[in-house]
Amino acid sequence: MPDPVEARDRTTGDEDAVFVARCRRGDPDAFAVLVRRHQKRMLNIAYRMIGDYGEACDVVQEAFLSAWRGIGNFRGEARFSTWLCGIVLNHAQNHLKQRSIRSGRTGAPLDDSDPPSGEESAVERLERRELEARVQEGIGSLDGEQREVLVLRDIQGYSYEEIGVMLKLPQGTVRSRLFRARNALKENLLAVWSDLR
Amino acid sequence: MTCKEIDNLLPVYEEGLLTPGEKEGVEAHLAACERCRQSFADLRRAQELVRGLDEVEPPPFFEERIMSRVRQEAGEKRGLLRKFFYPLHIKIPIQAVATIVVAVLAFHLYEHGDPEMKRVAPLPVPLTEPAKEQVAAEPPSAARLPEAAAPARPPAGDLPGATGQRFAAPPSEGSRRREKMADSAGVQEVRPADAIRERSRAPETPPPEQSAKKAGSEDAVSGMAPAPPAPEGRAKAKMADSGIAGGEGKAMPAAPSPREMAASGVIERSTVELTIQAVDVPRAVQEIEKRLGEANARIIERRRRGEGELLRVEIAAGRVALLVEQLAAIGRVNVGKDLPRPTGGTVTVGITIESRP
Repeated sequence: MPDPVEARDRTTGDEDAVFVARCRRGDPDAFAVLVRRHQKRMLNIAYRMIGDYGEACDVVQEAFLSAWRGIGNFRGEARFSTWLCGIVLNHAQNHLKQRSIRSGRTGAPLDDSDPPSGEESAVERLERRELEARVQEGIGSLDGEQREVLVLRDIQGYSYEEIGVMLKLPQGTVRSRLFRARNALKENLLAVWSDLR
Repeated sequence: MTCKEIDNLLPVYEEGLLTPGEKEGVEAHLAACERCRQSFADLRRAQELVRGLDEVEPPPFFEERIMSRVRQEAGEKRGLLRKFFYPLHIKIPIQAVATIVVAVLAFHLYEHGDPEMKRVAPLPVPLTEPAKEQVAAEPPSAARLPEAAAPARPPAGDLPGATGQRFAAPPSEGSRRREKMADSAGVQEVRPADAIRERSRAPETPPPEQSAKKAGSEDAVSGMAPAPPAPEGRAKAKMADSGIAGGEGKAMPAAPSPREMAASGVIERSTVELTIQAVDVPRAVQEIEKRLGEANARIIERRRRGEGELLRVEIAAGRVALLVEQLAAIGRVNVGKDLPRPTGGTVTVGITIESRP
């Protein structure tokens, strides 16, 4: 595998550019590198958007397949990860439209993949998971537009500019949506806090 | 600022996106408003909870699952392309090679095919009346001589001039034929000794004017060729042998008849196109015919061309240059291409006589 630093594209600063170019020539091995690099982040975005781990995995898989099919349309104007994230969000939104959010299935990974903390007791772990599930529920209660800006900004840490590129929105619109999303989430979580108290 | 305005600004307060005025207003309001302070605290806590959410890990073999689908699709895509274009993988190279082969073959035929065709299928030469008479009058002994003398043929080198001719290359056939035709036209005979002497004298060719004057004498034959080459001389010697049966010439095969010459062997032909511009075309034609007769040229075609006339003649290659010089005295001569080298063989000369105003 070539050195990512050496492979960094000088114009866009995208270290994926070399592999993207190989993908455009039909090289699946290059695409495997991109999958390895971005699968986790894309899965987390999809998971926070959908709230169900298994469905998020399916959505990410379909999104990667769409990216492979459409790699010829990627012109390198933005970073590959930005472009890929837009595809994942599209698939997630489509998925959300096709089904109603199941409030009982928060999608928290309740298997052993959750790394246990040595200092955390079983009770504390359960409490943490319960809290995460309630927060995820609060996120899930947002409408799709507010949810995606909240996930992208507050969970994934994308800049307003990047979010604007992904969602094809002006930065002002991104900001106003984020205001509403944060206030709405706060209102949703107030009930959780009262329960926890 | 009101509490409602503060609610709209608090979400981005900590991101530093507010103007200094907005920031001061928010801070002043928060200091004075308990409800908004609580709201701000709830907002920060919500954000902390969201940011503190654990990341989920991809399931085992997630990459493999994705890549399995991708590779499957890539394979199908390639298979589809192959299905559509596989025949072209074969067809295109074959068609390209075939095109190149045809092109090369055509070029080769164009470049080299013409002389080959002439050798394989020589053009039939019509016999002139004198030639026919000559064929009829040809002594039977001369025709039989080759068969009779063949076993006793002396080895090469016994008679340099004659034996050299015997194994001469195809061009000598043309010379032989031409000389036969000249004989049949009633020019003159050349004795073997004269022919041999002529060969040795070939470089000392008399000037054209002199040779023209000597037409009819024994030296005239040699004089007609400005620089008669060796094959030419050998051809003459052979003709002399065939004309006079006797001496060492008996060892030589008799000259074939004109018909044989026409049907056999290789007649080297090249064509020279001359254009003569003359004020008086009929007179020029007469003059030209006279010169042609002197040069032992044979007119094979004659036709009118506009106000002028076209004569197509056969003449020994070695005499073309002299003919051109002589024609230059009649009118302005333009030569279409380079004159043939004075080697053995016959050339066809097209002489176009044009009217010059």
